[in-house]
Amino acid sequence: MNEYIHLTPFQISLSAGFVLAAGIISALMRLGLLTTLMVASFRTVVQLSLAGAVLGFVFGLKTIWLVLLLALMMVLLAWREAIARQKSKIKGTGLDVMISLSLSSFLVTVIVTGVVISAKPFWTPYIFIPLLGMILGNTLTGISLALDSFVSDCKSKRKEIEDRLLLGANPVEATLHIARNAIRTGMMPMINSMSIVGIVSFPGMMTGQLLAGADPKDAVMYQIVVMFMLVASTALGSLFTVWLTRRRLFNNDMALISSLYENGK
Amino acid sequence: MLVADNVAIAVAKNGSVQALADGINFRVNAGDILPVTGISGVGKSTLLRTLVRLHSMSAGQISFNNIPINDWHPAKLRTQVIYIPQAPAWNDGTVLDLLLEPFKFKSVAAPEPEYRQLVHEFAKFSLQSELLDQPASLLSGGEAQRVAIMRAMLLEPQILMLDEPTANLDSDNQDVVINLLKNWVSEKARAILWVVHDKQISESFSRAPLEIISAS
Repeated sequence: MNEYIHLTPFQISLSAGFVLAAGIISALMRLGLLTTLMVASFRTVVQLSLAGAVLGFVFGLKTIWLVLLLALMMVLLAWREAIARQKSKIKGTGLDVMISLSLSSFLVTVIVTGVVISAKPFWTPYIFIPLLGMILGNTLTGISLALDSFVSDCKSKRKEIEDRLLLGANPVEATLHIARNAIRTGMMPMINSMSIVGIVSFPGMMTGQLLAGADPKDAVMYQIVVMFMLVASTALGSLFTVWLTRRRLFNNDMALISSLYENGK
Repeated sequence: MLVADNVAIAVAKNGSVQALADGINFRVNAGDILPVTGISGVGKSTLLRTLVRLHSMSAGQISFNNIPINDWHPAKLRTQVIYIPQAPAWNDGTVLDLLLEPFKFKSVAAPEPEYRQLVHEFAKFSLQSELLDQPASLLSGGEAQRVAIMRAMLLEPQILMLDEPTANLDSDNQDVVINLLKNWVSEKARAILWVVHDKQISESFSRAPLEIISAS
């Protein structure tokens, strides 16, 4: 294994020269970005230092409850992000997204840390928290894509759905093709990145491990596990979301709710 | 078979409720063809949608086979009372795919027809059986209407509700479809609700038309 090169504050300030270069370009070209650039650079330093301090504290946690509390906070932040991305608001989908996101992310994270990696205990903070973070980030993208596709297709294809209902279909049968398409849409980014990983892109996690001096073989094996768990969580999250949201789009008469008919096509 | 008692219908428009028609009363017995008339926009389609619970009535009572429709399992009700909208939304797939799709639904009890039977049915509706393997989106308006009626008949409902079923047909095919529907009603304990503008057609049925009149 290679020796890990520790960075010194002096080396960090050397890299600040890059910001200076960007600043000079901005000034010469009158891009009007100088202040923004300075603020953004400052924020990078402060936010990451804070995160480092927090992680240092978190990785020292010895009780499961504090780790789970932190995990819950992460889920809440991811949930807010997923909700904010929705174009059409349907009453109650917020809860559906919450259930899908937490269920799929926790399930996959616990299986990976507890069974695949066999961490003792499974909630060992320096393994559990970063994995959960990665899973949440990808699952929330999948969920919001799937939900958006499902709701907007149910709106634009309501005539198709109705034609099936009119022939005796239940809501599941009437929206089967739309649900399939939505789950496919949710999984697509993950499947795409699985196809190009290692050729076009080097994932941040693997790069980080390599820079930190890990054996490439180890880094690659971890990355494979990560890709697999991400695709599983994305698939589960998209499936749960579509399944739960569908119930909200139909009423007790097995008809589409009236708000899907409003606001034009 | 199908009884409506003082039914009122309304739709939501721009956030407020707009009454369409009220005081709708009728009774459809086995063997009946009930013509339904009324100016456009009065709510004829909404009434038919209401009868299969795709739309909720604002007042009144509807029952099918002596059971209030709200006590029926919605999907089961729709296998017995089939409403065929004026223009079916034919989505991806061949005509054959779309003909067979509903037979896979859980609530549908009618057996899936064999290819041979479909060819025979196509001939009855004076449709060419080559259409079966073509994309459904290429069907003309008149062909689509006939395929939709044929599919509904194969599902063996007790009542068909039709919205201008002959609107896109030339006079020869109009006669074909009208005769097929009249025969269909007389074969078993069946009935038809038939939205129709053409006086000549509606006067050829024995029952007087049910006229839907605007509530306002």
